[in-house]
Amino acid sequence: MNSLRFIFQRIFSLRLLIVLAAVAFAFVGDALPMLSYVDRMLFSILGDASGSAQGLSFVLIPHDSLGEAIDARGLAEPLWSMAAIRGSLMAAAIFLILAVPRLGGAVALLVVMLLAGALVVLQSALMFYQNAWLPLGEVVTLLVAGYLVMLFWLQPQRTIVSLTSNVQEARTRLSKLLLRQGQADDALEVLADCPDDDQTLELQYDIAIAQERKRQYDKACATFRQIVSSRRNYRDAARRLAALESLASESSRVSGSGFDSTRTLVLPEQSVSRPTLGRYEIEREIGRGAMGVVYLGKDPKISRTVAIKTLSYQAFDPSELSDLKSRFFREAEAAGRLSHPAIVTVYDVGEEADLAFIAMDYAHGRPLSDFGKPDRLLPLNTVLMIMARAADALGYAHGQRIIHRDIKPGNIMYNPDNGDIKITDFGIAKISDDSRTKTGSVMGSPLYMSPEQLKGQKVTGASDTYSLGVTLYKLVSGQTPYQGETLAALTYQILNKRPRSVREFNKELPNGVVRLINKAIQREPEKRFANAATMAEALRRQAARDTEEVP
Amino acid sequence: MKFLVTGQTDTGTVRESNQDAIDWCVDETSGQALLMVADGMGGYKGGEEASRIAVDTLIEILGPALTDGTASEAPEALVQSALALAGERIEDRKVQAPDLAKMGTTIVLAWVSDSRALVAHIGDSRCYLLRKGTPQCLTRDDTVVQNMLEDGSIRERDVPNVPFRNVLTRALGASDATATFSEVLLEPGDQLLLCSDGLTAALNEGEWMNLLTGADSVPAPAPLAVQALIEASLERGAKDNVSVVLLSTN
Repeated sequence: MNSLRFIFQRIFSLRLLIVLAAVAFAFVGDALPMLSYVDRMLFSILGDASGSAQGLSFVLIPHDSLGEAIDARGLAEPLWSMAAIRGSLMAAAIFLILAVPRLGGAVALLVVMLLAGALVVLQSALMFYQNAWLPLGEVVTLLVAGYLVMLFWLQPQRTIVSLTSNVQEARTRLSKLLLRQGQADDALEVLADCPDDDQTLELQYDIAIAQERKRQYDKACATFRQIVSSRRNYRDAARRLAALESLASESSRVSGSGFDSTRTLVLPEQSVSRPTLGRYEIEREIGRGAMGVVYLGKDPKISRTVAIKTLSYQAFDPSELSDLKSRFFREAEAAGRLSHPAIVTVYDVGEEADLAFIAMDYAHGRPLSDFGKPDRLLPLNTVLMIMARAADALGYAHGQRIIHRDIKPGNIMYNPDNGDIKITDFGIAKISDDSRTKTGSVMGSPLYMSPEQLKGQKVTGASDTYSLGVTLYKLVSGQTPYQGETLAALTYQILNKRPRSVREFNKELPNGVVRLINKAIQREPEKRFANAATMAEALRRQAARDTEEVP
Repeated sequence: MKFLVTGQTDTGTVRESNQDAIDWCVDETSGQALLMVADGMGGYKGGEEASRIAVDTLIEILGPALTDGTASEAPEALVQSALALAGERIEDRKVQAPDLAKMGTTIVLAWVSDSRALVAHIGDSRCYLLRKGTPQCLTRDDTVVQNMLEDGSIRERDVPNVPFRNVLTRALGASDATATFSEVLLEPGDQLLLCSDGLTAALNEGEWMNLLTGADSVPAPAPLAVQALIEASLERGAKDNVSVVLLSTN
């Protein structure tokens, strides 16, 4: 089928005409008087001794009587004459169809003239010195006529060639552009009709790497396969393909464990490129946050280390996604406006096919939840200073009309080396909790949640103050004011019961701290501290008093 | 008493899958009917599977008892054991397929023999008695929100904003799968309506009766009535799956 198409595509070409002409010349040339014109002319000029005496004027011998004239002149046609002529005709045809297009019109003209001249000289030389008659005129005719035909072929051919290379150039550039914009699939599609030259292969290779980084391992596999099929040893394509194939079989085995919010990116072996999220290269997983997995990433352009929190879409009903995404990006935008030494800076948000992510400052240290066990509490004074800083930061955020909504020990990072704290997850922590997915299990615990928040009423800065109060309670006692086995029981307690006094858990706690906590966790928002800044002040005063008390 | 049961379920206008499952069977000779609605949860795949397992198991266990009338003395115990089996099957499935680990389902079923109706439910799918033009809810939702409403912490209008509004306190496939039973004596002309929360979320109970009765206050034929309820909730843009099973007596 393919060979048939190959033939059809080439049969209606002027080049075929030349080949046919060469064959016709070779086999039926004797019957065509026109073809012997050159021979006859040559013979007339050189062969007829009497003619030469008459100067330049001569009589052309008619076609029919050429044979007799040759005999009369005493010339003999050698035995190999026929073969030589046919061979020359074929050589001329091949020269015309293959060499002329490469030489170009002008150079080819020169070469054709030289060849024709050489043939005439050769023929004359044979006549004079060997008394042999070799009718090379046919070859000369083919060369000249064929050259003229090729001129007609060359003209459109040049246009076609320049158009083709133009298109290829454009496709390559478009493909590069698409790749740079992250549309690897489109980039590959644009390249589909280009020949497998170095440029195309290089681009395909780059596309495959990009797909690999985007974790589209199936697609990367297909692309590498394409590269390897057109050139077996192209760079390390074969090795990468093998690595990807083993990865694919591995991930199909582990996919049984489910694609939920706790799913991690498969961090592949050395032969496969590191995955990226947006422009960030993923180094490793560093934890599981409220929304999903948290990664340590690096911005390669400015080599900045970032923490990347991901919100995996697979955990949600597809119908909820658009709402969820818009809230995610809105909250991230709000958090991005905050700039405070005790609040984690948000650098960037982005989206991939299967997740949204938020890139933020990588806060060194440990979450305060590490210091919430009764046997691992921080010194009281340290706790008060940490809480004062956190309250400062909340005061600043509330001034920007941004509520955290999920203050708890796990969302405050503490660096024991320099005492710095960073509040993380402004606004975003509660997003996945609020999704409409119905579940029997508890999504996030309301342990630190204010009653008004639990009741679905308006959340204000006072809600953060309450949560900070519960956090303080936890950090000085290792307990929370309310305890319940189930979400329903806990909710009931928070909404309807008096909190257990922190004194129950920590007998040595100064009265001031107990009073401070009780004020922060009042059920009625208006009975709490007027604002976070007031609470910060109270915390600092208390810290100073405690220091004085200690001898 | 003669029964006519009809039911319908719809994916709703937003979701891409229907995680509700419904089924019923009627046995004319023994004068008994069994109808149920399950509303699955835990990812769209898990939700579909859990509600299907629950409904299939209940029909498998209770269906034969309906026909041979063996269990009419202690229907509650039989229902209890069928629910336990459904729960076990859901747990087994979770072990097999870890990506379904969060699946579970609500269930509400009514077992009617003559004028006596036994209603059992877990979760927030409801059973209503429609008598003389007024719907009366026979089930109490097993939800955190229901608890909060009952202890007076919140009012009805706060419900849409409560952060844990979708959290059930009980579900088949969850740690607490205790069913609540109740009994009601049916009078001729009474209807029992089982529904998933998709219906109640989209359509106020007060609006039901207009759809269920024709222009001359005569109850509309059951299939038309169910159709009317579903269509009305879809017109309101029902976000969740909507399911209704209606039993009519004469």
